[in-house]
Amino acid sequence: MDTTEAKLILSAYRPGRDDQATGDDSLPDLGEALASLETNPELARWFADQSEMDETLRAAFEEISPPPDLRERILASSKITPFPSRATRLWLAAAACVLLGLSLFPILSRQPSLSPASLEAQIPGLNALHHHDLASKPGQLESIRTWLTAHGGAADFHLPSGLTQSQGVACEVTTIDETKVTILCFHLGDQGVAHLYIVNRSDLKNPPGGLDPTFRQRGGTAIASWSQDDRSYFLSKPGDIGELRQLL
Amino acid sequence: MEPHEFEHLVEAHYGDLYRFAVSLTRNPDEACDLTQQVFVTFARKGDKIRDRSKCRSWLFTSLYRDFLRQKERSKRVTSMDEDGLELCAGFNPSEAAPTVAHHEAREALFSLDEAHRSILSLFYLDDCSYKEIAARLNVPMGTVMSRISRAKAALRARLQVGPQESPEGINSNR
Repeated sequence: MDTTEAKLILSAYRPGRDDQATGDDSLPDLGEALASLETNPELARWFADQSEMDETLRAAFEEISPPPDLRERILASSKITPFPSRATRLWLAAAACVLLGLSLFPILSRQPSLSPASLEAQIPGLNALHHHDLASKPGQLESIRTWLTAHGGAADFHLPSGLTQSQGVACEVTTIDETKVTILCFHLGDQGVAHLYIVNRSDLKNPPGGLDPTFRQRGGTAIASWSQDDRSYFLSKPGDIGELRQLL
Repeated sequence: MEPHEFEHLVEAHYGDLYRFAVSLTRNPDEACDLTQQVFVTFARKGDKIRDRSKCRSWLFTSLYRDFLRQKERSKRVTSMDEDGLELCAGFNPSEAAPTVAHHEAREALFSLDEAHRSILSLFYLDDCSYKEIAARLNVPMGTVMSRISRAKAALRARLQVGPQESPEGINSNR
């Protein structure tokens, strides 16, 4: 293990906590990194400095005290009401069943909770923070479709022509505002990364009307939205609308 | 959830949640609002969390997501330019006298960009595993260690360009 690798591991080391961790929670090769401290004086000096910095930061955080009235404000604004007794809960459950039986149709028709505007507002943040459930190599879109089929995603997506030659595609199936969304991440080489969000048309409030895309600029991110068959699509890319048009 | 159970939950977590919110917003008023809001949301939805050991993780994750939504709505730009920072004095230091080194350490941490601040805050502040850090920040597990390393390198660089006359602590060996 060289010094750079040891520093990477030791940067994330929390003495007392990480020594006890196992499985996914543990730091890989921690034992070897710690052993390096005994044979590498430069590393040992670096680690001592870092440990001192860590202790200072922890203490600095401890000094940040919440305002004296914050706890009361939280309790006052949260308005927790006592949970009903078992007998009351049974009566309430029975009454709820009767109501459900009487008003079955409107109860069963689910109202969409996600609007295009709400999704577009979250897209710049989601682009930066979403993770990849599966990543494929160029030309392996079928593996993406297969994975999406197995995981309830939008496997029958239609891609704009500008995305079909990407250098790699990754995907994720997630939930945004209680709505299932498939996210495809396209690596376009020098052109950067584009993200395609796919939602069932019926899950959106006022989905995009048709194949002609509508364009919007959200800060430094350009977004195009359209619908095709049962799906609505939201394509986003850092930059301006002119650059995004080249992908469509 | 019973009121006393909720009260216990608030007591156990609001302090650390507030500290995390401060590191994200760098503004005590916004941090109070975020902290308060996450508990209001929990009061509405918390009964769906069957495993009570997951409550803390849910609170931190929700607060972080609320912060990101708020940031997007207000279209604030996180800048590395220190002149543009909205650092606010008066984080109500505890009754023990704050040291100069602690003050400089906080300023250095709050001057980092949001990705570094958020991961270091969870690393220092909260007793959570790397898997939990990854889940709360919605980053891959493999990214956590490298991001912590880069964040600490950025922090060290900030502290090294701080005042040379700092009497104790971090800068004493330089």
